Amino acid sequence: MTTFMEDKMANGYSGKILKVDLTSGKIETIPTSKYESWGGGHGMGSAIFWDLCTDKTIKGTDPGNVVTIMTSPLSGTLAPSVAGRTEVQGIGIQAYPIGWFTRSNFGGRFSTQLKAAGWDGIVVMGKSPKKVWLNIVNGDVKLQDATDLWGLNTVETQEEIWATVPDSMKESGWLNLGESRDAGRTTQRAAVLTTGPSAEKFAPMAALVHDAGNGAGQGGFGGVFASKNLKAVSVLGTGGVQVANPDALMKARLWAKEYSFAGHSDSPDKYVGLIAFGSTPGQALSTTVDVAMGTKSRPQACVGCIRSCRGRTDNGKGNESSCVDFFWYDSHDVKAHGQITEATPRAADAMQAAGVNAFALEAATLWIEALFNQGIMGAGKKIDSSLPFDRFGSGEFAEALVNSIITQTDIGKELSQGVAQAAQAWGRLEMDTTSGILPLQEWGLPHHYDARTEVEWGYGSLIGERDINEHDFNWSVYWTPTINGLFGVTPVVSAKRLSEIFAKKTSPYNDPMMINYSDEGIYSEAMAKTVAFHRHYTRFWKQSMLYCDWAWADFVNPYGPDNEGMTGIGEQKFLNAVTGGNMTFEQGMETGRKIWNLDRAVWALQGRHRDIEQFTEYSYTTGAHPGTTTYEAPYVMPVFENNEWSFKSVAGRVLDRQKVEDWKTLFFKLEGWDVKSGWPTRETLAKLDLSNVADALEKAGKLGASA
Amino acid sequence: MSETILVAPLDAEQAMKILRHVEPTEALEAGILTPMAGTRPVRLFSLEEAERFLIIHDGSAIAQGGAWAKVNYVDPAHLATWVGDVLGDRALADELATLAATREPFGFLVPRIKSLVATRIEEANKVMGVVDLAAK
Repeated sequence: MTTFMEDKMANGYSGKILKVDLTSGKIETIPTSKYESWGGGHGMGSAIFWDLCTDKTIKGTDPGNVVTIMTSPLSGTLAPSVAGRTEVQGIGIQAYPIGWFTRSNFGGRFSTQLKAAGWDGIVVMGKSPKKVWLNIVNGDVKLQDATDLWGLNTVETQEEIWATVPDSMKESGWLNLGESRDAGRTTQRAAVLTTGPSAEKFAPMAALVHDAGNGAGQGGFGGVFASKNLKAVSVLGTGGVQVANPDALMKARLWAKEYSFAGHSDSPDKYVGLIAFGSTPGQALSTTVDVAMGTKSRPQACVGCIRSCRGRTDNGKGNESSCVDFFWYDSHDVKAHGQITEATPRAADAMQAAGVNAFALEAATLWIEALFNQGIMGAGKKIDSSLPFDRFGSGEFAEALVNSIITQTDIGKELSQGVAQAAQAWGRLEMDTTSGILPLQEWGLPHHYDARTEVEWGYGSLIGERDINEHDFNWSVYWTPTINGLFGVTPVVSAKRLSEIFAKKTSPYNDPMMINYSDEGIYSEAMAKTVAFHRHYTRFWKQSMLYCDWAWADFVNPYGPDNEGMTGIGEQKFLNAVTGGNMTFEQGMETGRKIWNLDRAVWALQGRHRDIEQFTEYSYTTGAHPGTTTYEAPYVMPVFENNEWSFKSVAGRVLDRQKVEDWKTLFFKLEGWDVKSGWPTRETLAKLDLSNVADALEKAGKLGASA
Repeated sequence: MSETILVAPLDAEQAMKILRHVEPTEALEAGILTPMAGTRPVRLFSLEEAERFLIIHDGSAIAQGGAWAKVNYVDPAHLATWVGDVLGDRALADELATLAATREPFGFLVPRIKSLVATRIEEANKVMGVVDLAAK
């Protein structure tokens, strides 16, 4: 493999990774250079997990589970929409029936503080004999007693920790870390990553929360933390990140500005929106909250980001919520009240304070509403509940539901163990995932976008281990044509032009048929290339370099030349400016493929086989027509039919079981995996410099047979 | 209020049916489209709820919402079917079906659908003797 950083580890990297063995209390350092070829973030996390988790078949709550919390060389720099994210990995406890080795990431300022403290990441191993929190102040690392923190919610926990990290040194808004002038000083508060109250009791539903509105929800890592008797990690740093070429970084940022609305704000009429990088910063919270509630807000961004996709409200309610924090309850609020009321931010605050996985909670809420409406759930019903269903849509109901989960009372007793797990406990899993009343698309997890229509999302989640939640294709192949269609606007980029842009920017595959979402296209080899590109791209550029999903990939951009976005050029431009290396986009893709293969090997050891890679039954039987429980329409996508490109609604489509199987075979062939099992082969692993992984798979009887 | 006039008069029984809250099994399925969260299904339990739910969106404002963009969506043809089959208002259902059949973009249809539905609710309210206090 190429050592793309070319001994530039001093630039962009702190050079060391913190290793904490909670069992023994031993704190050690791993030199980052040992994992240099993996880039950072997810790649380094997977490689460290491979080396340190000796038995990968254990459950996520086993003390042997290894959790990595990783930054990227771009963390804490001025590179746009990348610097603020942190990647969390380990064996998860949310997926069903197997808790796969999985990932989640979150924004904010944690990664920047970690870099400023001199660390590229944190590795947490073992289980502490007593409840602790990890306190990192630059190179000073301590495990501290968390007995008094254990029952606190995420807001209270952060406030308590802020009060103890080194409060005595506070002077005039500056925190001095020592008496010496050069001891370090900062105006920042510690960045804290914490679980909710007694998270071990609602473990699969438990998230990790940082500041307000930043959460790593998927995987149940809040529960994994709690199983290790770890309440929180706090980090405060006074250093910085060495950038190899600051001039190049600044020029790159100014170059990127031309691709964003910010670079064209003098002519807003040119704005065509609904794209990744170029969208208006700070606009949206105003349109969704202010009008209805009379609340004022100002844009809020993660470190270094131009998108400002969150908002700080003048009354503090729903502060910094984004995405499903806000949307897990707004539809119920709107239905009950005709518009967004205080119920939505109240629900967001309750969920975040409790540290509950918002996306799982959203799925649970839709499902229990359906069960109530069908007379199955409620007071005196088959599934007895005294929750105030008559006030469904109110803040009171939202808080009662969240409280039931974190106290394991009422229906929360079962829901606290996960949505699929609750369905199993109530004897409804097979029935409700067949009818689609509980649309857990794969691995017992809810999905953002539908496998039946937008297959790159569904396939990626199925062949992977979680709902991918990566909008790279989604912006251009679904949102833009769909919204344009709803409002009678001709898309700026035609379906044909879209196929040309994607072909140009999806190296190494470069196939214009990769965005053919026709009934034939979704089972094609080109769609296998789409999924392979997406998995490799995101494994490296987004999960390892940590480019944010709300800005990258930038395939299509109205401000770019011929509507082409920065992807393929921008990613490495920023990275090389920081590291001083000369990495190419394709080298990043190849590293992504290597990481993807390593992850696949871990899943194989955990029990993955192509035979269990099946979508839930409704995907094959029930279309998302109006009137069905999995209503998901309209869905306008690019199709190539009768030798012509066009945009067409594909809503209502169901998947063909045999064709999905045939597509899996195409995909496994493309990846160089055994088509019978879906396991990586020695030949493929050896080419990726992963012969040691092949040895481990062979020893476990999980090595794929070469073709 | 809208200037649209429906030709078919209502009697009290029809008006009551139009204004009723339907059973959960009869609810109208709608959805809120948001890039951040996909399509979230919403179940609407009355014609008044449906009218409130339909928002006259401006296409460019939606686009400028970026990741926070949000569209409240009800399939026009499905709405027409629901009004006819569940509420039993064939006249309104026919009017809505005619609009849906134009296959004009949803954003163009919403103002007309909303107006039509609001007018029908107003007519039903008058038949039922409900006084519009706000208008007074």
